[in-house]
Amino acid sequence: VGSKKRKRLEATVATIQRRWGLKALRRGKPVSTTAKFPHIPTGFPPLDQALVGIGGIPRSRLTELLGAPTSGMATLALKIIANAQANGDTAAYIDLGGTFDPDYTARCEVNLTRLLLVRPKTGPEALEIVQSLIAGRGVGVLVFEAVPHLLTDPHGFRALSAALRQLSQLLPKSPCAPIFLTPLQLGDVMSTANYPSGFALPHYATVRLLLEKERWLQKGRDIRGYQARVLVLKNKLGAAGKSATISITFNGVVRGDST
Amino acid sequence: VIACLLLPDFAAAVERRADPSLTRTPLILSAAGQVFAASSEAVQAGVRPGLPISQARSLYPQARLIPAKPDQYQQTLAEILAILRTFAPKLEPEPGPQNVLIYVDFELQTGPVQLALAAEINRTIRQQIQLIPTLGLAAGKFPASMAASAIGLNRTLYLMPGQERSFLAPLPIHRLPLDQELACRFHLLGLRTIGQLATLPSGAVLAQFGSYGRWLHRLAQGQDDRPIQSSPPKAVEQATFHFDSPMTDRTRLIALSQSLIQTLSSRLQTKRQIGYRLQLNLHLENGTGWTDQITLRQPTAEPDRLWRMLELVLERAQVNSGVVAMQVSLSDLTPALGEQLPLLEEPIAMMQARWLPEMLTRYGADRFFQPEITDQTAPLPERRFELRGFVGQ
Repeated sequence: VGSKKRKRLEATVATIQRRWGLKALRRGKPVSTTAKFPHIPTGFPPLDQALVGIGGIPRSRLTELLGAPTSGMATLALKIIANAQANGDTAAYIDLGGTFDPDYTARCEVNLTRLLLVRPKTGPEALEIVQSLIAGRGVGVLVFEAVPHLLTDPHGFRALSAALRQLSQLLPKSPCAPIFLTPLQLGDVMSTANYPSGFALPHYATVRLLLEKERWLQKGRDIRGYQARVLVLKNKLGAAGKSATISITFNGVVRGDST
Repeated sequence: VIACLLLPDFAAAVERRADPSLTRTPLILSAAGQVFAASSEAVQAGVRPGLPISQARSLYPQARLIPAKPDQYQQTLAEILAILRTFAPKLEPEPGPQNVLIYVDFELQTGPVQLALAAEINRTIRQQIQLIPTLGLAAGKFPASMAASAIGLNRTLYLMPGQERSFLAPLPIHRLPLDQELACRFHLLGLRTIGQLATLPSGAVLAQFGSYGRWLHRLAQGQDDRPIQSSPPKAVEQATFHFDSPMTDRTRLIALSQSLIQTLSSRLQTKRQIGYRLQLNLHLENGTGWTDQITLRQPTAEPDRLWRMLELVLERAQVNSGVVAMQVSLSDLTPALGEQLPLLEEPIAMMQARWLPEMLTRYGADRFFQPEITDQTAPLPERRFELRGFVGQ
């Protein structure tokens, strides 16, 4: 930077600091590029690699999983829970619709004794409980499966915006990794028409993953699983746009493999 | 030396203390259609504990019939024992249907000190409990109890060592702990007083009446070497909450009682204790109180079971004024039996005890569950699991 430009910059900084205070503008510290962000592995190494700069689902940050129903969103979330539990974490599952299936969850290798199932009565109450759980710092991973109910609730949008604003203040002090599951309507999942406009979650989420079922995995005439593509739509901690292919087989035990 | 504190007509005395207008009224206390206890006038007329009420009324129609309150009598006895423990650590209560006897061990004290202690016990019971006892002091339990029952209320009789035999000699033989058959045989043999039995040769008594007869013979001679079987005081664990302003909202009372149960349970689990008797005390704004208790079939410290029991008590609660304080207590505590802990898994309730109770209180226990696989082979998926609640399920 030339001396004239530097002087002009210093004068501008001085003006801003005089008017808005010294903390209004501060010199940034160099960021270490080697240190990885605290995270929970997804259980799918290609997906962990696709999450550049993190290596998994980031802790203390919001993550959103998007996809059409049966695209593998819930299974991926359960596998993340199983991985978190393997590292000694406890998990909470917010199930507003009452669709949580403990049998399938156990087959996803989730330890049910270390899982707290929460069934709130309303969407706003669900958000309140999420805040309390994160503030309590008792859970390592939290899956929020109540977004559709917030979309249908007339006050849901506003409640979610307010809750996310508060969560963004609570999360840096908590080791929790909250994961929001947002189902998209059937059809072209990449179409923005499928995503509710004005929804605050994409703004606050650090990572957004879009799941898309690619094909069924067959053995002879039997279906033994399916293959899905995970696209990193957003990554505030690294480069976005990468994708990974995962396969989920269910023969008694649900297993996640990368292809 | 053993001191025997006698509280004659204990239940009637407690009733008369609660209602002084009954002081001169003969009383029959009833429970479940039978006589629970009676005052001395009714006892002299032949009324005995266990008689049907109709029979008791025909025996002594002048007596006033009132329902017995066993919990109050237990409570009063516990208070008396607590006072006596400040005088001597070794106590043995012997509550009977009519009279209550409490043996106190004065073994380490000298004669004058024993008498002074006895007088002080008498005075303290009168002042603090407002019941009038009598005290007998002797070398053994039997002579001490006979000494206590031989004198009037508010008095103390001290049998010097060696005086027991001569004191017991004129007493009727039925004062000994006889069964019906022995009493009949003694009567047929013409034995009317304790002294007559005491003069018989011990070998002959042993040959005629066996070892029990030999023991009675020794009692008749004033020799009673039975030690005082002291039991430790019954421990109580309690949790209390004082409201800033009188509370009338029943829902909040229920939520708070859940929280108190959690506190109580975690304390007991830390001490590895379980309890038999759960009690709820509500202190009301108008200065009165409401108390109720429930006896558990099996002792426990589990919050779920305690909460289920407390719910039953809460349903019975009649609160006509704001509640200023709430107390939940678990008594008759005993050590918990050891149990196999899970080797690899930790129950979620234990692990998250710090914040989970707060969440349960705040949002309600019906929001939080722990899924559990019960039958993985069930054909219907919804039959394969169970959602276990943390409290109140």
